[in-house]
Amino acid sequence: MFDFSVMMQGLQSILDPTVLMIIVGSGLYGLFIGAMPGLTATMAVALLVPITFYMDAVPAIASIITMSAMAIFAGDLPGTLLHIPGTPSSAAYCNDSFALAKKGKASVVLGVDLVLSALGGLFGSIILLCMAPVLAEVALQFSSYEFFWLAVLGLSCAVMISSGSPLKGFVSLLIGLLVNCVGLDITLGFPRFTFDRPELFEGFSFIPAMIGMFGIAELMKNVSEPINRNATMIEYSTDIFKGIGGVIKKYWNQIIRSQLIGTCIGILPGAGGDIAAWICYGVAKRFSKTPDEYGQGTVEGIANATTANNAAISGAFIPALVFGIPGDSLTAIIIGVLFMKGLEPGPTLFTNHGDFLFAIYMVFILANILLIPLGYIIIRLATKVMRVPTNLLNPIILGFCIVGAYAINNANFDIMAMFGFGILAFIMLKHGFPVAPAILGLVLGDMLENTFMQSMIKSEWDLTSFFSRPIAAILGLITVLLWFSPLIVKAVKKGRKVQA
Amino acid sequence: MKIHDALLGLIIFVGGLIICYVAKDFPDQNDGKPGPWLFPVVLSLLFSLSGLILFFKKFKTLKDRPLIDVQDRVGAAGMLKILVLLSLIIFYILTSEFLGFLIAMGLTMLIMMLVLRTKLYMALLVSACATLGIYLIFAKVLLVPLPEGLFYF
Amino acid sequence: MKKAVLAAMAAATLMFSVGQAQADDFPTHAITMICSWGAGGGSDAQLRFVAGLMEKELGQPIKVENRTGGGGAVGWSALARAKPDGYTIGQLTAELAMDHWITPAVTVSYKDFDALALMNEDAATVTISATAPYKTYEEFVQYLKDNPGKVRGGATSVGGIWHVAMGKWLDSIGLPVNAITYIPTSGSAEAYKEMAAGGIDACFTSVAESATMYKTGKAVGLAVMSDKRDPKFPDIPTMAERGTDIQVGTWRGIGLPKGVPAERRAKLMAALKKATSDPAYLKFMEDRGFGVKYLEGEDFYNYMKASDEALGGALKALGLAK
Repeated sequence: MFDFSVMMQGLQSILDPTVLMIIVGSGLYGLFIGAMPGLTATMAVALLVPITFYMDAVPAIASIITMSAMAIFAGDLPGTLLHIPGTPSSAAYCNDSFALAKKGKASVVLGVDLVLSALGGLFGSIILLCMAPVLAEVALQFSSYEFFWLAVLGLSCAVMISSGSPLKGFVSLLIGLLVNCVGLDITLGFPRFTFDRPELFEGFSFIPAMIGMFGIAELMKNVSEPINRNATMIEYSTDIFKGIGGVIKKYWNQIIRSQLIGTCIGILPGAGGDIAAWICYGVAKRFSKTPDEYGQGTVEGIANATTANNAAISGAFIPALVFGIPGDSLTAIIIGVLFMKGLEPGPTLFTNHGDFLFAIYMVFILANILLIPLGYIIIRLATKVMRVPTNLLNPIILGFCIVGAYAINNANFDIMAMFGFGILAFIMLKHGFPVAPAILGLVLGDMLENTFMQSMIKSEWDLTSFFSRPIAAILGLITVLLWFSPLIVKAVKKGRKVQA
Repeated sequence: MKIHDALLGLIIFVGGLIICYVAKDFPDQNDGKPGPWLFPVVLSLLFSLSGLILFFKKFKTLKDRPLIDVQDRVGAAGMLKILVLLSLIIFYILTSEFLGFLIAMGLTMLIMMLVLRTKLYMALLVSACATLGIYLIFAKVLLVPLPEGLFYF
Repeated sequence: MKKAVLAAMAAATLMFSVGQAQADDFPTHAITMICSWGAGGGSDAQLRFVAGLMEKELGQPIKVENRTGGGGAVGWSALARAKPDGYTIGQLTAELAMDHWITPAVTVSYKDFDALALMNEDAATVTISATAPYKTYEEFVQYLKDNPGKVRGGATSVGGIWHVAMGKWLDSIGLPVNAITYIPTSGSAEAYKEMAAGGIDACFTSVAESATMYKTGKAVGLAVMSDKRDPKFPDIPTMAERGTDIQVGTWRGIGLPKGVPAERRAKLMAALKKATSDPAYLKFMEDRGFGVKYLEGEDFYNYMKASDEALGGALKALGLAK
């Protein structure tokens, strides 16, 4: 696909010492941003853009790519150590990572996160390298019907992933979806439940809600426990890479499955790492031999989801590079930077700027390889948090929660929202309602309603239109099968018994 | 404090109906097709229904456990600390614009540490360092405009 | 008269700043610039670029603050309420002339600000999918007349600027607003995604937003709603050439809370003027496909006023103004 000379040119442009230094520097920056709850990769990139004005095209794009790949992994750090996911992509398996950390396995969990994130990222990069133009064409066949099914698929996972009573999981999901109704509606711009507050027109911001439901609820639980001064979290093993080989060996087929699903979801503009992680977690639970472990600390679930969200990152670049259609705010910024550098995304990028494109692919691969050493250092540093006594740690976490919620819109209103969601989650947990489905409802609620209404307006309220297109019909079928798979499995087993 | 599941089911049932009552007045599309009301109404009805199912499922256990169980693991001391935590968030929201980030956040952390029975010198030292650290990271490195109060910090 | 005084004052301060120290040595500390839109978007990118250039002129750092929410209303309310000492300035965009028509809860409008300068104007287009059965402007109009409601259009949420552009265009060619079924999307990216997948047949976004779709051959531009052709796509005729003279576009400028001392206002204006005539800025605008249009002070205020009235009328015609 690439000429040898073009490849050499591309390689040369990234093996330049300054470029390498920029990659390492932005990698560290990304790790740092991702580890801070409330700071999103988008915000970090927006801050980086004015600096990229003064760089060449390759280092400019390289710095953004490296940063975003690192940030997704780093979101696992506070999720594992403090039960506050650093990025929405880590929310799916936050409960499990934290449960394992409490059992003293923080380093092991983070080791699994690190290695599988890197593997997931590499897989996604290779797919990008090999088949970007083909996949982009497929991704562009997704209209509102297909995205509707994707949202339904994701939400079905919510009820599947909830441990305990499915009814309570469903109530939790409905809470998330109902909260999502707050704000201007998409079809008429009608303000719903906004109480005339402009802050609510676009609904609640997701980040403060997430910090509240995980962070504040956890803090409320922590401070209410009897004080054991100087108590710290236990840590049995500090060997980060211990057991990683075993994990890969045991789950290799699942990991490949999640890499595939993650990359595919990443390619669809508008769906991203967070949805990929949720769906892979849900699918893994559905097919798991030990579904009871999910939510209580399952390495299997973590392995699947952490692979998926990194695999999705490179996928998001495919429609952006091939058609200039951004999948999220991050790729939108990258398209802007490409324009600035006179490299317009589109087919011409592939024909006229092969060396640049090859350099970008190489940066993806390099960034994911680099993730291992840099991630190792950051895990070593971050796990020191566990030695801080809880009477000092909890107030500091409170500080980070407040600032993190504030930073998303620079408004005290969001601290208020975090406060409310924290109390809500605390009450829910106390009465046996899982919080994860509510979070997923918040993530996918907009997509569900918007795509449903769009489809209905397009087809003039013909419900069969959800099965009228081939991809939509397949996705719909998968969803229905996923719902009824336990029944089918039971029926098959029964049938076999009868035969026997 | 723990509310009995059956009572909780009733609360959810009524809550859903209230949301539905508000949402049913949202308008139609201009051509008379379902509009902004559709999702909130459907979701709140499902919410109500789930509450009702919860109520009937747990109805039998109503006499086994009290409606509102005041006795539980958290206890009065724990409740008090939760209240302090929540009031501190409100305290920060109300005072940060006026006092500025450094003072408001420093006080928030300090009080929380003292309530968790940290020694005074330790609490002063750590809260000051942590506040300064957060300030440097967010305001200086990441350019988040943290509130400046009376004294411009 | 007012304009002349302002211009004279601007000139005076410019000369002054080159010369000696002055009575009011504004600015003495950092200036805050409020952006009502999220970090990373087009509005934010433009503002940050200008802020970077203005910093050099003013000798003090400019912090860009993203106060998002409420379709821009949150940021504008914060700007309108800020202390009028010249240390808080902010971006005003076309949505300022629209939000208060659509949502009664939004009270902030152009009247709450002193205008500094308009920097950018992007005209709407009429863009059709390359796979549509109609190929030319005339065919498209004829198809709309023959098949009312069959064509599905999109570009923004309901009541967004490109929705208004669609309404005004249909009105100008004598068709009712429901001649095109409007599919609300979250923005131009989603609209083009839908167009590529066959869910939307016509878009009304700006040239800059449509550029890659034109280049990849997935969409065809039929007309720009501006008084002159776009330099990057000189093949697309203007509306006047198509026989109906309408101009609709989004705009971005910079404003101040009411009551900033005239001297400080003039200083900011001079810095902004210098920044927006910088070759780096002009290159940035051209690379990103933003249209450059510069109007100062009173002219910008009148421009906003006219835009407010025009957009309000169009929203009423669409049945969206309350």
